[in-house]
Order: sequence, then C-alpha cells, then structure tokens
Amino acid sequence: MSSTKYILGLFDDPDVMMHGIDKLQKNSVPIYDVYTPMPIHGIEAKLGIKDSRLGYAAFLFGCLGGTTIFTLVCYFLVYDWPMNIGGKPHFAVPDFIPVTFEWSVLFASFGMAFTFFYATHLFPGRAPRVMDLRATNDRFVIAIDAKTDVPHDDITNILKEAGAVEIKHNDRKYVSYE
Amino acid sequence: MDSNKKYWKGLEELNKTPEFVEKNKHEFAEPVPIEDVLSGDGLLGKTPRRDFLKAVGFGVGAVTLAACQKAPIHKSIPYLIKPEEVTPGVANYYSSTYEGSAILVKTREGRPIKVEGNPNDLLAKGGLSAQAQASVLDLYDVSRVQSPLVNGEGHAWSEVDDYVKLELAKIKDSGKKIAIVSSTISSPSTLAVIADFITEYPTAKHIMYDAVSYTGIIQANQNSFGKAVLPHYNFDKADVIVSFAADFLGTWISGEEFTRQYVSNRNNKSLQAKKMSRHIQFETGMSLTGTNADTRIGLKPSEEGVALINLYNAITGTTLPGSKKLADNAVNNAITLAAKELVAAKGKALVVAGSNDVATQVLVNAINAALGSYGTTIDLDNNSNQYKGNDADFAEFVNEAKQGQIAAVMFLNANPVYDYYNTKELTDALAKVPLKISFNTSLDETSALATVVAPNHHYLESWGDDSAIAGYYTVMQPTINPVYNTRQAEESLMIWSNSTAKTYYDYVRAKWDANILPLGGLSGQKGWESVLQTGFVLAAAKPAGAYPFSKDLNAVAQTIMAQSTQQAAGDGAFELHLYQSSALRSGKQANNPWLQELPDPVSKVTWDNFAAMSLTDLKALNLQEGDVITIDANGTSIALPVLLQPGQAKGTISVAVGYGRTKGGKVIESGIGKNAYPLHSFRNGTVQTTAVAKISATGDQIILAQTQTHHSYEGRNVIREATFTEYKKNAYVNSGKDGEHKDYKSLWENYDRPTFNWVMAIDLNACTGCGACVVACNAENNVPVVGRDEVRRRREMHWIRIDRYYTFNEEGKGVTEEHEIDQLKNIDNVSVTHQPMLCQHCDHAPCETVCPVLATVHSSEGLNHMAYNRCVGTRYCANNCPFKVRRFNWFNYWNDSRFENYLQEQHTQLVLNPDVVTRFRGVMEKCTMCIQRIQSGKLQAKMEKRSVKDGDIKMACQQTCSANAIIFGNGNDPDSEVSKALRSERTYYVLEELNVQPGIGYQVKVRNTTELEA
Amino acid sequence: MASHKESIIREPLVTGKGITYAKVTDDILNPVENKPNKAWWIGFTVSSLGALLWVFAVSWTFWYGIGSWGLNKTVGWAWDITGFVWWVGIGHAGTLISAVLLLFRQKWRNSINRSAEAMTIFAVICAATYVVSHMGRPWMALYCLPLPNQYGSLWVNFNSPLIWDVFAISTYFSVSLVFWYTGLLPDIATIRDRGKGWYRRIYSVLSFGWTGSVKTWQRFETVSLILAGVSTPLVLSVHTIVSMDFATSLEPGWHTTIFPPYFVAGAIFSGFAMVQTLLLVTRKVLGLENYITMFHIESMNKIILLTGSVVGVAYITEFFIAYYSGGEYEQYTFLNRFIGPYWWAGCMMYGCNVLMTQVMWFKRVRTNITMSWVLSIIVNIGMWFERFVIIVTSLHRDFIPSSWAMFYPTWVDVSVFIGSIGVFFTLFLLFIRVLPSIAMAEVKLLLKEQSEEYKLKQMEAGHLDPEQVEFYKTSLKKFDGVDISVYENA
Repeated sequence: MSSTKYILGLFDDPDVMMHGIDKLQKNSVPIYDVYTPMPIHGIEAKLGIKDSRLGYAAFLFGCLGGTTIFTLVCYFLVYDWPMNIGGKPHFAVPDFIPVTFEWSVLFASFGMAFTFFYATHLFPGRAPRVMDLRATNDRFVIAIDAKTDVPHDDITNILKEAGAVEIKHNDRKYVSYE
Repeated sequence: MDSNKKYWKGLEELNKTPEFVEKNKHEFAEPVPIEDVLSGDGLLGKTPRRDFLKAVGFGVGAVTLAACQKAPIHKSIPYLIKPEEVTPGVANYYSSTYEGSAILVKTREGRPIKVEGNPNDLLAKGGLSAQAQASVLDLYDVSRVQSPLVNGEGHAWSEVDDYVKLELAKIKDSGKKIAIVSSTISSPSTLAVIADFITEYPTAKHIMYDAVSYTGIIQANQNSFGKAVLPHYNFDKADVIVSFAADFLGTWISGEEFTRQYVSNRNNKSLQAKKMSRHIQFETGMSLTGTNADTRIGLKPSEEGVALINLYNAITGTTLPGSKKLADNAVNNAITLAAKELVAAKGKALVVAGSNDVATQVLVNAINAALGSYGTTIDLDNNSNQYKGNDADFAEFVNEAKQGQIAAVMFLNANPVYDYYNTKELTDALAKVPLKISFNTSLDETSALATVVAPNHHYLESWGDDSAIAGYYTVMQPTINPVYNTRQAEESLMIWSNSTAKTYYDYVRAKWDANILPLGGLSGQKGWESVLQTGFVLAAAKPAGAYPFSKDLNAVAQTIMAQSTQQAAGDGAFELHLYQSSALRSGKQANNPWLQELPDPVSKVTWDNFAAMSLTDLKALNLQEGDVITIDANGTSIALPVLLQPGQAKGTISVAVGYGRTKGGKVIESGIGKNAYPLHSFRNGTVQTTAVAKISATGDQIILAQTQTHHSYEGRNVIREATFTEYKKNAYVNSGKDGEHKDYKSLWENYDRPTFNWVMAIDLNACTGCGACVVACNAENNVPVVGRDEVRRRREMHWIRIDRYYTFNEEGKGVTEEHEIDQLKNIDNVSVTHQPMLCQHCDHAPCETVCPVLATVHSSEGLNHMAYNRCVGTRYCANNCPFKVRRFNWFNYWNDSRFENYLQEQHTQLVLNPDVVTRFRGVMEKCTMCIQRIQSGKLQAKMEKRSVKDGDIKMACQQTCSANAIIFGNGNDPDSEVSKALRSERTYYVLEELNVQPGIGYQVKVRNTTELEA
Repeated sequence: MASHKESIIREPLVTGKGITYAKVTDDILNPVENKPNKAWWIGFTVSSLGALLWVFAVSWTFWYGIGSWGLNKTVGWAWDITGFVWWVGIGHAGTLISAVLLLFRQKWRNSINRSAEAMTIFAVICAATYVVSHMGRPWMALYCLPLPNQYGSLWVNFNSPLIWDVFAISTYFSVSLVFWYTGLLPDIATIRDRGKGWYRRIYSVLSFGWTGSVKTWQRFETVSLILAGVSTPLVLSVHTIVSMDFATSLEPGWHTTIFPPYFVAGAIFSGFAMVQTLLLVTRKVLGLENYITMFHIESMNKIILLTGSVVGVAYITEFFIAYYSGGEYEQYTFLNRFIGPYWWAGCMMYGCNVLMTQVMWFKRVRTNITMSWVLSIIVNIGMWFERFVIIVTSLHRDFIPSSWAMFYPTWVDVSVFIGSIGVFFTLFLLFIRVLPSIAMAEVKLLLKEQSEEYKLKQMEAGHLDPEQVEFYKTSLKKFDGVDISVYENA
C-alpha cells in the first residue's frame, strides 16, 4: 500500500476534463471532487450533486425582513407614539411600503449570502483546502481518493487517455501554505 | 503655688557672659535678612541659585497643597427673602409712558424685557411703534455712558455737581447767557424743572430743537390763528384725506395714532357698513402712507406749492395771483378731482402737508378752513405737544454762541452736532462756549464735544410724566434700578439750581398732586397709586372750535411761487427730497440692531440708506440699482447707492436721514449709511427738507441688503384686491368664493381639536405695512439679528415678514407679471399691497410630512410645533414650505463673533425673553404663534379657575399693531373675534388650492378708487 | 460539444492571439502583482489631493456651519443634494451591469461588471458623505435612525422620503458590497495561490478559504443569480425613492409623478457614462484592450444613446404635463427654466443630455474611443446640471414671489463637490491596484466560445456559411485589438 492519499488529474481544458470524468465513471472510479478556476456547467449533474436550496433560504429571510420592519413601523407610529404628522392618518400604509421593501431585500441578500458562507465553510482566515495551486488559475483538477479498490496505475492510465496534462499522486490531502 | 525655681539654659546664662547677653537680644540666632530683602536692592539683587530653588520648592509645594483643597461650592439661592411682588417665572407689568403714549412694561425677575401698548392709551389704543418696541433694547446698550464724565474722565456725581455749580455761579455773576438745548419736551414736570432752573439762573434760556422740525406748521398756525401749536388731527373723522407729502401713517407727528384713526374708516367693521374713507396722496418719494393711498400722484417738491395753490383755487373758485397749471396734466386732473371730492365732503375733509415751509402751511390752513375742517378733523384747542421745536430759536442760539455770548449750553436729549443742517457752523460756535453739558445717554456726536457729560437715565429707569396731547397726562415710572451710574437729567438740573425738592420723584409727585390729579378727579396717595396702575389722567377735552381763516393769501402765494421757481431743478439737476425712514426715523436709535435690521416698508432695504430714483431717470443716466452716486446740494455732498423706486416722481431723488452717524455705539460705528442732514437748508425761517442737487456716478457698486428682491406678485392669487365700487356690488368679490364657500375635500378625515383651534385673521385692508410687528416679534421670541451681509445672502431670521408688492397700472388694468412689466414704458403709476407673512400653521402642513426626525409635528390645538433640540437641519421642511416662512440658523448667530451686533453682549442679553430659548446653529425655526403666551394665558385662566376667554391671549405682532390688522384666537369658539373676522366675505386663504389648509385667513384688499383712474 | 457553439456572426468578446486561461490570469493580475506605472502614480496623486480638499472643505463646514455654503432661506438645497443624487445615479450602472445584464444573460457584462460594481460602491460612499455633511447638525445624524432615545423614545418619521432614503441607501450599499465581494472570492483565491509570503497570507484571509470545488461553484452561481434577482428591483427602488424626495413634495417642478422612471433612466444614463469614462482609461493604462473590446464600448454607447433618449422623452413629457395641467405655478417653473435667470443651466441640461447624445446614432461616433470618452464626460456634466436645474431652478422661484432669490455657490460648495470626485477616484485607483479589475473566472468562461481565437479556429475548420463569415470579418474592422491582416487569407 503506497503512501498516496489522493490522485489528481490536471486538465487544461474543461471539455477534455468532462470526458475524463465520463471515463472515470465508466470505469467506476469514485471521484472525490473536481476543482476548477471557473464554474463548469453540467458537471454537478455528472457528479450527481443536488440543486442548491439557497433560494428557499433567501425567500424566507426576505419575508422575515419585511414583516420585521413593518411590525416595527406600526409599533412606532401607530401604537407606541401616534402623532399628527401633516394631518395624515397614523396607519399610513403607502408610506410604509418603501422601508418594508428595502428590508425584505436586505434580509434576503444577507441571509442568503451568510447561509452560503456557512454551508460552504467560507469565512475570513479559514485555511484554504486546496489540492493543487493551479486549480484556481488554469488547471481543471479531478481529485480521486486513493483509498479505492481501483489500482492506482489504472486510474493514472484512464486519466492519461482522457488527456490529462499532468497526473499527481499526492501524499497529503491539501497543499501546505507554509 | 507657683515655683520660683530658676533654670539656666547653661553656664553662659548663669555667668551672664557678654556674648550671651549680645546673642539674647535677638530672637533668632542668626539675623534674618528681612531688611535687605525688602530694601530695593534686596529685591533687585540677584537670588542665589539655592535660594531660588528653595523658593520654587516652597512655592510649588504651597500651590500643590492649595490645589489639593476642593474648590468651595457656592449654593445660589434665588430670593431667600423674596420681594413680594416678584415671582420667578411670572411676568410683572408696570404702566409707564413712551413719547407721550401710555405703555405697559413687561418685567421678568426684575428686568424689563418688553414694552407693550396700554390698551386704554388715548393715542394708539395699545398699538406701539417699532421704535417703542425696540426701545427696551437701548436700556441694555453697553455703549451708554456708564458714569458722569468731566473732560472725558470719569468722576463722582458730587465732583461733577461741585464743578458745574461753581461754573454756573461764575456765569451767573458774569451775566452771560446759558442755553438749555433740548428736543421737544412735553413733560410738564421736566418743563417745570427747567423753569425753576431759569428762575435760579435768569440768563438761562430753554431752546427746543427737533432734528426733524414742525416749525412750519406751528408758525403757520401762529400766523393764521395766533396759536403757535401743532393741532391735533382726527383722521377718523375724515372721509376724504388729501395729503401733500405728509407721511402721517409713518413718521409724521403721531404715526401710530393716525394709523389707528385712519384704519377705523377702512377696516372690516367700516367696510361691513359699506363705508370707506378716500385717501389721495401727492408726494415725491414713495412713503409708507403713499403705499396705502387709494390714489397716489408723484409730485416734485417744487410743484407741491403750486399744486396746493391750484387746489385752493379749485376749492374756493378764486384765483390766487401767479397761480399756473402744472406741466403734467395727470396731476392737474387729480387736483381737480381731489378738490371736487373735498368740497363734496365739506366738514369731513382733511388736507395735510408734510412741508416745513410756513407759507405752504398757511395755505394749507386756508384750504382746511375753507373746507370747515377746524373743529371737526382738526382740533386746535386740544393741541398736540409732540413737537414744539423752533428752528429760528436754535439758529439764533448758534449765532449768539458764535459771538461768544453763550457761556454754558446744556444738551438734553438733543444731538445737533449730528442732525443740525450746518454742522460746521455749529461746531465752530460750540468751540466758543466754555461750558458744554450733555445729558445724552450715549457718547454721541454732541456729547463727544461736551465738557461735562451727565448721563441721563433710560426712560425705563426714570420717574416722570408726559403730555402728548393737551389734557392727556401719562405717568412714567421706573421698572428697574439704574443699570449704570447715571442720574436723571431733571435731578441734575434740580441739584444745580438748588431745588427744595429732595428727589425728582418728590417733585413729580408734588406737581401731580397739585395740578394733574385733580383734572382726573383724583387726589392724594390713593389717586397717585391708581394713576400708577392706569398709567394716565385724561382731563375733559375742551370743545374744538372752528377757526375762520381771514388772512390775505396773495403774499403767501407769491412766496410759494417764488420758492417753487427757485427750487425747480434745471437741466441735469435733480430735486432732492429728504425724509425720515420708517425704521430709523431721526436716527436717535441708530445703535439699535433691531431697527437697523427692520426692512424699510417700501424698499425692503436694511442696514443702509440709499438714493431712491425713478426708472426713467435711471435709464436716462444709464445707472443700475446699486450704483453709487454722489449727491451735491447746499455745498455738501454724500455718496449713496441708487435704488430703483417705482412711483418716485421723475427728476427727483429721495434720501432718508437718520443714517451715517459716527459716534454712540458699536452698531453705529460699524458705519451704516450716510448722513443726509447736511443736505437740508434754512429758508424762510425754517429748515427745509428739499433742495436742488447735482448728481454724478462714482462707478462703485454696492449691493443693498434687501429682504425682498422680486417686487410684483406675478398675477398670482396670493394677493387678492378689489375696488370699493366692486366690493359694494358684491362683498365676495375676488375672495375666490363668490357667494358660496369653496370647500377643498381632503383624502383623510381631519384630526379633531377638542378645546382650542388657534387661528389668525389678517386684514390686508387694515395693514399699513409699518413693520412694528416684526420688531415686536424679535423682542418676544429672541429672534437673532444677522447683520447686513447675511441679509444680502437672503438669510434674515424674522419670523414674520411683510411682503410688499407693486402693481403697475396701465390703461385701467394692473400689470404684475415680470415679462409684462419689462415692456412698460412708464412704471410711475403704481399701487402697493402689503401682506404680513408668517407660519400659516397649516392643518396639512407639508413641512411635517417631510421631516425625517419628527422635529416638527402638529398639536391638538392646530399649531405646527418645532422641536429645536430634535432638529438635525436637513432643511427639507423649509424647501417644502410653500410660504417660505421657515428660518434656518446658518451660523451660531448668538455667539459667533462674525455676527456681533452687540446682541452677543452678556449684559445686553438680559433683554432676552426667558420663556423662549435661543436657537443653536443648524436648527430650523419659525413662528410658534407665541406658544409661550398661549401657555401663560392658559395657566392664568387655570389659576383663576375659569376657561380661557377670547382676547386673553394676544400674539406679540397682534398686540403692537395700531391698525389692529391681526386678530388671533380660538377658531372653535364661534363668537371669538377671530371667528367673526374669518366669517367675513372677504376672507381667503393664501394658496388654499394646495389644500394645505392654512390656519391664517387673509381679507381681500379694497381700494377706494373711482373709475376715473384705476 | 456542439451545444455551446456560438454562431459566427456574433462579435468576439475576447480578442488577441494565444489567449489561454493562464494568459487571462496573467494579463488581469498584471497591475495587482507588479509595481504601479507612472500613469497610475500621477492619477493617484491628483485624486488624493482632491480627497484632501474634500476633507478640508467638509471640516470647514462642520466647524463654521452650513452657512459657509451659498444656501439661503429660499434655496435650502443646492450643490449638496445635486451632488448626492448625481453620485447615487452614477452608482446605479454598476448594479445594472452586474445584475440586469446577468439576468438577461448578456455575456459581455463579464469583463466590465467587476469595475462597474466597484464604481457603484465608491459612488454610493460619495453620495452618503453628502447625506451627512448637508445636515445642520451632523453630530446628531443618529437621530435619523429609529433608535430608543431620551425623548421617551421619539422614533423617526416613516412618512418622510428622507427616512426612506436612509433605508434605501444603506440597504443598497450593503447589498452591493456583498454582491461585489462574493464575486471577488474566486479571483482573490487565484491571487492567493499565485502569491508568496505575507502577500499570500493577506489574500488567504480575504479569500475566505475558497477552493473552487464543484459544490462551491454551484452555490456560488445560485447566490449570484439570486443576488442579481433582488438587486434589480433594489436598484430601481433606490432611485425611485431618491426621486420621491422631490416627487412627494409640493414644490412646482418637484411634484411630478413621472419622476421615478425618469430618474431611473437618468441614473442608468449617467452611470454608463461614468463606466465608459473609467474603463476607456483603465483598459489603456492597464493594457486590457483584449478583454474590454470595442464591442463593449459600442454596446455601452448604445445603452447611453437609448437611456439618453428615454430621458429626453421624460423632459418633453414634463413640459407637456406642465402645460396641460394648467397649474400656473407648475407652468411658470418650467418656463423659468428657459427664460429665468438660470436659463444657462437649463441649456446645459437639455443640450448635454439630449442633443449631444443623439450623435451616437452614427456608428463612427460609437466606435471612436476619443469621442465616446468626450461624450461620456459631457453626459456626466449634463446629468449634474439636470439635478441642479431640478433642485435650484425649481426652489429659487416657487409660490410666493416675495421670497424669490438667487443661489450663488461659495468656494466651500465647489470644494466639497470637486473633493468628492477626488475621493471617488482615489478609491477607484486603489481598487485597481489591489484587486482584479476584471472578473477573471467569468472571463475565462468566455474563452471557449466567444474569443476571437476560437472563432478563427472555427473559420479555419471551414463548413461555415461564407456570407456569415464575411459579415463577421467586417464587424471585426472596428476592433482596435484585432489585426485584420490575419483574416485576409482566411
């Protein structure tokens, strides 16, 4: 058993990489993850990743924001201290719409963004879990967990055939930043 | 049992060795060098380093210790023993008198903070002039003389008295003359004091001298009827008034009184009775009175006399020698028309002239006699004492002084060095007078020359009395202890004339007990006290007799014609006309920033005087408004900026006196305007206000500080006027209601006003635009003075302003729109409207909706509140106010040294009304409807366990208005004065079509113009 | 995969030879990873001097009071709110480019959205400074927030458009910030992975530990899409609310129902002009001609032309309604814009915004860099005057003629405005030094189908409709980054 932890197939072209994924999957090689410098459409389908549910989060946060401010305003101007402002009624709904809208948007965007950061473990100062430095630049990297019953050489070959420009057998999972 | 044991301090003592004895002489073993330290050289001698360090060490230590101690706390306890009449927070009112009219002085915690009219005053019935309102500020003027001066150095009064008495004694022996030069004195007691002084010093003479003199009228009455007095005019009895350059609603004799009388025939009440007086004004410059006239005709000064002769001819049907028609036919027609109307109104007619020329006034007397005005509209028997000055007397005094016959002169409330027409001659003459005593309160131009300055009290510190009209006596009582080390002039005179009375108070008391109280059926302490409350005694008026005119007029006519030819300006020359500005009048109060910032009712100029000219002349000379021109007349010349004055007679210039003072206070010394008195001339025994002037442009430019720069109302219905004929046909005319009341629907239901709904009614037909309300508001609400530059930047802070609009009459219709006005060739035929504008307290206030921080909201009493300490100053409210009545504190006017008009003096700020805060930089402010007055009114009612009555609460502006144009009250009460006024057919609301639902209703302006001219 | 093949007639969005993913990274990160050139230093010096002027003028105002501006009792707002609206308007283009064009799947946005969004943020900062500095008592600015306070908790007036502003502007700023920063994450990660030492550490912190794994990208795209979805109505609401500052008042010239759409159009108009002004310079200075191509410039010019015409129509409508309403005050106000004392301001407004932009109907003008730049400046001036006219010319002569007055700016007014421009450019120049001024990840997306090189390959591969090929070739002529000679023999 070698010390290899992960096998990386580095491609320089997204389409070629997609082929690679197909090949690997045909040979039932489990793919750990794929790192790309840009979003590749259709890849999540191949890897069988479910659609993100962030949209629902956004919607719920939006509703929360809207109700919050509307309730507050009503409390302020209708219940807590109603006063005669230019002879207008206390419960002047049309005047409350702008702020209600603004806070719906505010809560929706912030709620969703932070949910995203939380779900994908993004926060300032987090140690980047990067397997190959060029994955954020010009390489499309397929990572395969070495703990698989497919022999490493076969994997290497499959990747070669698929047109990987480079194949790495890494002993440690992530690139060290030290 | 005491011991007689003896202990030695050692053998030396026992043996009494000489060294020991020697040593024991001194307390200290070593001699202490006190002597040589204290001796000069010890102090001068240089300290050795060690001593120095010691000293420093000790010093530092001592100081440190001292510093360690906690500063002593002084607990201030107001009124540990409280004067029973003073309750902190509650105002006291004392009756007194200002220039002959009865007033009430409002004091708080012992300091006078406001002057208010006495509702029972004979003259203005509670109305008060801007000057009276501002006079309270003069009390706290830091530039007053604060202690007596001899040759410019401060001395104790006793020293002054000794000095003066000695001098006077010398003069008495030498038999040389003493002159007491005063402005008109109508106070019986003061006159008596002076009389006593004269008996003590027989060579003394009392000369009354007025900056603006009425000698012409007085002399004329002497000539015509043998009565050298000013008559008492009754404008309320006149149906037709024809005035020749007499500004009787403003500066002429008794403006406030005449305003009240005049308006009584034009206000709502009289209109309801389908009655309105007719007023025709012939004048040179546009005066406040001219702006209110039904018909106003521009007239050159030189034409005035001729016009009067023509009027006389037209009325009597005779033809005086030398009389000729005038060049301008419009004027001739107007005169014929005026004559017709006057004759038609015989007995109810009045003709007045502002001229100070005896001949002219004699002619006026003749006309009035012909119209049977004497005994009806003119009362010679209960004459006015307001002006008695005699120009000839003063001229004679100057002469005598020049010849060195005068040994002493005393100036009482007179400042001839500033306001005499021939300053040079006067100063030279005064140089020859060894003893010059000035009683003036400030170190003005005259006091500056005086050897002795014996500063008089301010009237709010004085005892005294006054009598503006014969038989009408008002009492003056002090409302505060003398602020400075001053002494009442009368008291000084009494002391110098070794009077028997101890104080002037006793003197006044005695005089009143003896002569005046009985006239009012009063007597003794009780009577006196009741007078101190009511403020005046009114003797039964003598019946006013009719005076037939029986003098020959030919000579008079000739003099007049001669003068008019002499005064007619040739080519390139202009006829100069000098007048008093409504704000500054003679210039006595020139150091008063409230008056300096009060916009002139006609030109809306503040902080300067100017040369008013007609458009035609400006075009001819190719001058722009603001160009500085030099005016040359009577050998002197002054440089003033030009102002384009619609209605100014062609070929004339009007210049206001009272400006350009040089000494007497911070404001004055900041240099305001130019002195126009030297342009006067002495003709036919009187000082005349007209002259022929040459002018030339200097090329300089001055931006006049005007509070209004657009002068027409663009045909907008913010101003609504009608002619009396139209009004008689349909009372609703132009009120926008035409019979049925127009009701603007509102989108939401209105808030209810449970008890009060404070509203206001302003009658445009009553308001003369004098501006007293503006100053009253300043005093009541601590409105800051911002100064000339800020006014130029259009940042004046007045909470109430008076908008003045010109309508130019072109063949029978009024032109008000800018682009049309530019087309007009002749803009001299102009009619004027004044509109007081203040916060309208709209029920649907646009300002409230837009304030982000709720700093301005509506009260349940219909008022628009302003919370200063909540305001962040976005100015959105001001932008959204269609009336532009909100005022923003652009700077910290109360203590930013760049806006110092001595209102920042701690001492002067004692005048502030403690019920109203001063506003800080960056907050918005505006009319509060004198909320503090409303509150105190409610409290008063509460304490008296009753509900607030109509009239309990008066706004400051309303209270001072002699015309009673402003009415405030509770709109919920259908019987309140204001509700009645608002029910008038003429009522309209400015910009009501915006449905902001203003709380102030205006009443349509009505002009009594006939079809002949419109 | 044939599916993403794009028709040949579409113009390329990335030009130049040998553009690989690596080259994209190198080109775009060039300014970030190397010392700045002279041009940058000059620009930075000038603009930071401007920023200093701003600091001075604003401090002066705070010390002496708003009185040091030229305002008066009649004209309560002038350069301050003019500047505020102007900056907010400029800000809007960024959001529009990144959000609206994303929703419309306009791929050409990918190479300009980053700097446009940055511009948004800096512009909104400038606008916000006006909100505070125009107050009489800025130290009390917190009163504008509904915070519990000693007045028995006196809250704020939610009927006031200014409060709506407070909410709108703050929301707008923070949402744009999130949008912008989320988009930056992958690019920061790129810098991180290319960098060394402390440099890498800083960017490592900033990158939030971005990896570029499939899930991350998937969520990233969802987030961008939804943010775009909410930003679009947001940006419209913001300028609508700004316009309500005027529209809900009753000043003649302000009280107008057409304001919201009119202001939004104006905002896009001025915003795109500002983007144009910035990018035309940036692409030269940073040598990004291959990524910000003539196609981009022309497209933006087209939008400027369109919105300019929309604004023009709005102006005409305004006048017609003023005439048709019969309201004398309204009528006078609009007449006054031409015959009043501020007629010249009116001319600047209508001239610059409507007349000048019409020349963009000509392709030669649209595709001429110098002219586009000059025009963009003209538009910015015109839009400033639009706000000046709306605010000052309406206020200075409203209902009551006695209060009519003129407004004269003081040196402080001018300095605050000039200064704010300095602040803006200082921030922008710093931005292009430390962060990629073009969204790398998104440009990389274009490389496959929309790049000139790729299209050339297609042509060489043949079997394309020759007519279309010709069309394509001619369309390339305007590009300054393309050498046509290659195509002669193709």
